[in-house]
Amino acid sequence: MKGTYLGEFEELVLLTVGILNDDAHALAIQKELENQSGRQPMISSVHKVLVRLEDKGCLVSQMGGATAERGGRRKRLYEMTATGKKALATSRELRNKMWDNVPQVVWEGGNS
Amino acid sequence: MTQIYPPRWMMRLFHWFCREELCEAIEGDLLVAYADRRKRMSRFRANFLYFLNVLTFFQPFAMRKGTLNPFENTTNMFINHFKIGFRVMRRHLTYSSINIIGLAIGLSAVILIALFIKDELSYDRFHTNGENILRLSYKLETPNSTRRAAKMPFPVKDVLASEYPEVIHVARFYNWGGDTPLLEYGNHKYTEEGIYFAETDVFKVFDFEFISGNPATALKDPRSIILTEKMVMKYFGNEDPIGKVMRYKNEDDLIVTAVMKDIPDNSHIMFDVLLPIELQRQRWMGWGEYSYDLEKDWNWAAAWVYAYISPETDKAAFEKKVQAIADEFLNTDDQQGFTLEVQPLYDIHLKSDKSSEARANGNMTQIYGFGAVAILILFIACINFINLTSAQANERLKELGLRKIMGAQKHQLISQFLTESFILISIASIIALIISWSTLPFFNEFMNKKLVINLSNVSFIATSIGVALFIAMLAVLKPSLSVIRVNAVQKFDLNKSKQRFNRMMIIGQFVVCNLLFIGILVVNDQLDYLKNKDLGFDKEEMLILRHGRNLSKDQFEIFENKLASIPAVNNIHRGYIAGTSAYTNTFKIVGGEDEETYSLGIKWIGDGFTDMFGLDVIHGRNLDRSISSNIKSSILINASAAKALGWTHKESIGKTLSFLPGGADEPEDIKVVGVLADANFESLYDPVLPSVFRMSENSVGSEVCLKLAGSENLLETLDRIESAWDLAIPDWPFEFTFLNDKIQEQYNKEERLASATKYFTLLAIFIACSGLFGLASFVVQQRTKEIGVRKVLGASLRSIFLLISKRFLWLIGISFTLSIPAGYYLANQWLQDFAHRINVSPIIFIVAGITSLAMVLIAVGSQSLKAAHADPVDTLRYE
Repeated sequence: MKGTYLGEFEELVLLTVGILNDDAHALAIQKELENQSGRQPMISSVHKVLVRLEDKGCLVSQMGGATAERGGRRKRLYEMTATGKKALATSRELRNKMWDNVPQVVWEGGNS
Repeated sequence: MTQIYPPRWMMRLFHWFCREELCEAIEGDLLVAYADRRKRMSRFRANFLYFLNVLTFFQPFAMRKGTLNPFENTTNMFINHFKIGFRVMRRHLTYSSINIIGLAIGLSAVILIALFIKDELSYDRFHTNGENILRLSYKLETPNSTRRAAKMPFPVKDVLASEYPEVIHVARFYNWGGDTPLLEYGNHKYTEEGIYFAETDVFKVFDFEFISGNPATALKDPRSIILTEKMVMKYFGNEDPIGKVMRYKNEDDLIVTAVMKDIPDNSHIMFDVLLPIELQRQRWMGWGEYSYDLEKDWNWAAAWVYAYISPETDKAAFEKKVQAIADEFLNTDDQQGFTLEVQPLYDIHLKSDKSSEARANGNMTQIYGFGAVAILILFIACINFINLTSAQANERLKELGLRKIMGAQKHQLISQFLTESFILISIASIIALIISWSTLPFFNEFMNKKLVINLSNVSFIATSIGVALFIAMLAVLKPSLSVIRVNAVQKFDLNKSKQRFNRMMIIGQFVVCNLLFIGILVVNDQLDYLKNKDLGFDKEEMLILRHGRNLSKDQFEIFENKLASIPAVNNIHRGYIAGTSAYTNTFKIVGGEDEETYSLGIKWIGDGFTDMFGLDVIHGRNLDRSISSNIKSSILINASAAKALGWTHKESIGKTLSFLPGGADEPEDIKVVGVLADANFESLYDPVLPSVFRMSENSVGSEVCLKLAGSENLLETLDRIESAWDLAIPDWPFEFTFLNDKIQEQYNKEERLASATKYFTLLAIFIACSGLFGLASFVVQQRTKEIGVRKVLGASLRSIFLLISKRFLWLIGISFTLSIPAGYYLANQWLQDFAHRINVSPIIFIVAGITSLAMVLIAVGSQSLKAAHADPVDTLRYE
């Protein structure tokens, strides 16, 4: 299952793409991630993950939305694919399953 | 709103490495961030952060393919060139190996010579203040001679130190060559030649390394002695020598205060043991009525004097300034004409031509000569390389054409040639290193050096790579030029221009070879001549015994009597020994018209000197105790002296000379009673020294000479002499040399050099011939079919042999003709330096000519014969 496995940061970026829906480009993703998690990733890391996710087939992209602010450069807008959605779902399921397997005692129990 | 952009070069940098499909989007993002930062912070800071941002994208995911390796295609071609290069090498194994071996041998010769030269140039460079150390010496000009000696009188130190503020320290060394003092510790007792006297300041001026002891105090006490490691091993073994007492000359007890490292081999002054000058002074002060203070004697130039001057001193001005010393102290009414000379420390080894040097010097001519041989060998090896490489290139025109058709550009073809010649050169260099490394011990023994190849030496490696690059460029230059002219569709034919070029190269090569060959023949003849020249006195079967002036007259008589019973000893003589160096002194003619002074050698001889060495009195009579009441008032002179004094042999009898013997206050008059035939007592490099022979009354000199009847039972004879010696002078060791060996010593260096040059010359000739062999076999190969056709049409063996050889013989003929006048001129130039020299005979040129002809015939002839004998059926089979 190597191809679809998501790293933690990849998962967050993928989720952010989902959140941003129709304006998911690198800069916006960086900002949103900062809002959501409080940490500011480097713009190059965001781009790197986006490229990788696209390679994995979790994202597709198209060019659009050139503005004066961007010096006339267009944005690359990302959109989740079915694979991406499935990868997120798998990841979430896995997590839920593992959560369930943690015995209640651990959460409630004693002083460690 | 107008967009603000970061500096253009940063954007360019980004565009250069970033993948095109990502570039636009990423740059947009970066620009937004940049614009934002420009509002908040200084432009410089924003630029800097933008730059950092750009750098964070310098990772594989964002990078264009080939950014990290923009020369991918070139690399592939390079690999291809390598592959082809090796294949070509394998296919033409003969040429490649001739090429490589020739170059390797040439390079290793060059490496060895370079090491030698580097060592010669490194003399005394280990003294950190060397730039500012000057040696003072004197020059004495009299109307008929000039004498330049390396030494100065002792008291010059005080004058320099007190009256010349620019002089920081003055250091003196003293060693008396005639003296071989005895040194003793426990049961170790030897005579030492390497005992020098020095003073504390020596260590302030020079950087000799200490192992133990303090340089500042080691020579303070007049009863101290400093040993080098070598001497510690000799006398003490593993014992700690510091504080131990050694006995000097059976008289003085000295305490070892310090141990020094052995003096580096590249030092112009070489000693094993240092004693304080003060010790010598006190010894002589204590001679009762003969008490003598060396620190006050301006007449005796005995010490090597070095001044350490402050760096800003102008040396020429300093030399002018110190002339005051000559005027005040050296020039007297008796002797005018002294000037002081100032010589930088670094010049001593190579550029000094003074007498009484501390150690035999090298000389610049030798360096130039050797350097020239190295360059010539390299030249010959290079020409070989160029010729063979371009001959091969000629063969590969089809390949080149094909490459061109496939789109190869000129620079690519050139780089192919470069790669190939680099492969050859690298292999050759490695072999050269191995050869020179393994022959170095022999070379060292031969040249009496201690050279090492130091691979970690940066300059050595840089030079080697430089030389290799240079040869590669040279070798490739010619084929490259041809390649540029080659038209892919044209029929490739470079033969015409190529051959002219090759021919010129071969001529150059063989001119050099012939010159070297003529050179070694001339040098050989000259040295043979010197070696076999009758010196004018007997030097065979002479045994020299050293006693360092410790043999008293009584002891000598005991010894003489004891020897009388040994039949194998024919004669014994004390005093001056023919063939060794002697002193010169200044003489005046008593009753002469002018006050002119003459510098003549003076030899203190014993009874029977002329018999002992087989010298003839050609006019007048011999010195004879039975005739002269005072034997010291009569002298003999040699024929050269008569000539120098302006007398005929007849005139000179009865003439009187006056001179001031060393240490005396009053000049003495001496009368000429006889004229001796000239004999070459000194080096044959110089003309016979005009000399005076005077009998010495008491002194026995420092050596005794015995004439043996023959060399049968030599060991037994030596044994008997030794027991006689032990009876006569029990506390002095029995040490002997043969006069023959001693005389031979002066020529050893020159002979060593000559034979080194000889071997290198033979190497050069070998390399040139192997090149010619390669070229000939190439020509033969190229013309195989032509020869086949000729044979089918009835050509004789002889005509085919001539067909191939003719060209080469022609070239050799031209180069030989060219080298005759050049060789003649150079040989005569070299011979000018010798007082006794040969004439350059035509036989030398004939021998050289025949030899080079023979060499070429062997190299070319074998190939021609092979071609002539080849069966046309084989050679024409594929036509």
